[in-house]
Amino acid sequence: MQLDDKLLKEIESGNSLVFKGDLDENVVLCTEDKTYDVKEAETSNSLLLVPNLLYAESTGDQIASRAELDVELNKIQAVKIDGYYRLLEFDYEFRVLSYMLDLIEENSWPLNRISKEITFESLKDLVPESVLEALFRFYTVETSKEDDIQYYQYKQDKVCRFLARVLLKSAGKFNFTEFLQAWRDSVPEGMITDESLLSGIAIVDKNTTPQVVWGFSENDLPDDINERFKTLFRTKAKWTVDEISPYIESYATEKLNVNALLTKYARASTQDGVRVFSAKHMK
Amino acid sequence: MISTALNFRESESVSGVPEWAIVELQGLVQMKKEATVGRTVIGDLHYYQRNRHPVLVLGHHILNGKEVKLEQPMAVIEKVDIEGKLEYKIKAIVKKKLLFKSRPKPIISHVSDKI
Repeated sequence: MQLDDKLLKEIESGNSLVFKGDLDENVVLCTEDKTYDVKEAETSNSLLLVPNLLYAESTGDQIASRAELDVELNKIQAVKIDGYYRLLEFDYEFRVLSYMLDLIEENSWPLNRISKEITFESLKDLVPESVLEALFRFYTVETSKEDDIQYYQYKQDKVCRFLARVLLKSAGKFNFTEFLQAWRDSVPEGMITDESLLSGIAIVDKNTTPQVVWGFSENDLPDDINERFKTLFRTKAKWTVDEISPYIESYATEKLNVNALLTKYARASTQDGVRVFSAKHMK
Repeated sequence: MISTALNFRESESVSGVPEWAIVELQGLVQMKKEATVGRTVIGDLHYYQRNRHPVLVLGHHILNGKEVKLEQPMAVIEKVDIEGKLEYKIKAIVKKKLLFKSRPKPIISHVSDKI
């Protein structure tokens, strides 16, 4: 039965309504002080009544599926300790990862023959097992299996990126050439650092003399997309697609990819034959 | 990405009259088995995490819809016969509906992992 606001209030305040009418006349509906004509309407659509439906707004994020949750938890590197998910402090992660990487040289392991067993055995007095387990899972992949022993390899890109972040952690800009040298020296022997790995964690300014680099991570940016673009263009006036992508990728959807986002929120131009993006509204 | 949303929760308006929702579809939902008694699962309702729009998966079809506030609220009434005196009990009021008015899209197996 379709209502108007007045009838709704009557119902909500618990008053009763009365249908009145004889067989030969139209039915009316009466409240205490008003009379309504009752009309019958038809619809060809199906109207399914659902008690207790949870609307989108009240679903929130807590109803993310288990799989989605696991993906996200893995992405932010949440560690389950005694039934609670925790995030490791950056410095602590660095300390534990350093212990782990130091074992490579100590044991003269080839990079693709890391032993999980020896790693855990060597560090068991220094690091809780749950933390070791988690970091080992985040940072390694399985390689070969020999005599029933599984060997692992550290994810080179991930290790290099993390160590670059360690170097760039302190505020301020660094001489790019010096940074590259320090970075190369900080990673385990045999791992190759590459400038492309800095995408999303640092900005390199090659227009200055000397060239400089500084740490710049997505986490430091505002969540609001307009604000984010503002901050990005304030930090650096012109970006190539590759440079800016890591900072806006999380807003891209199937229908609105990174390029479409840039078309919408930035101005495209060409600089030395390279397509670059800058702020839409110049001040 | 889609999140599962069929957790049920007791929703009541201020007065204690339960608030229900309407799921509006064009046409009829036809079941293969006729005359099922009691509760029947007809499909899965989810909300896109991206835009919060509802999406209904019915058999091999997917329907994209939207949440709409009813211009005029509705009351769900039930006929009760109390000692020969006819009364209508107000079971619930409805203020919002999920409207699925677009044509159902078929789900083809090789793209089904997208959904």
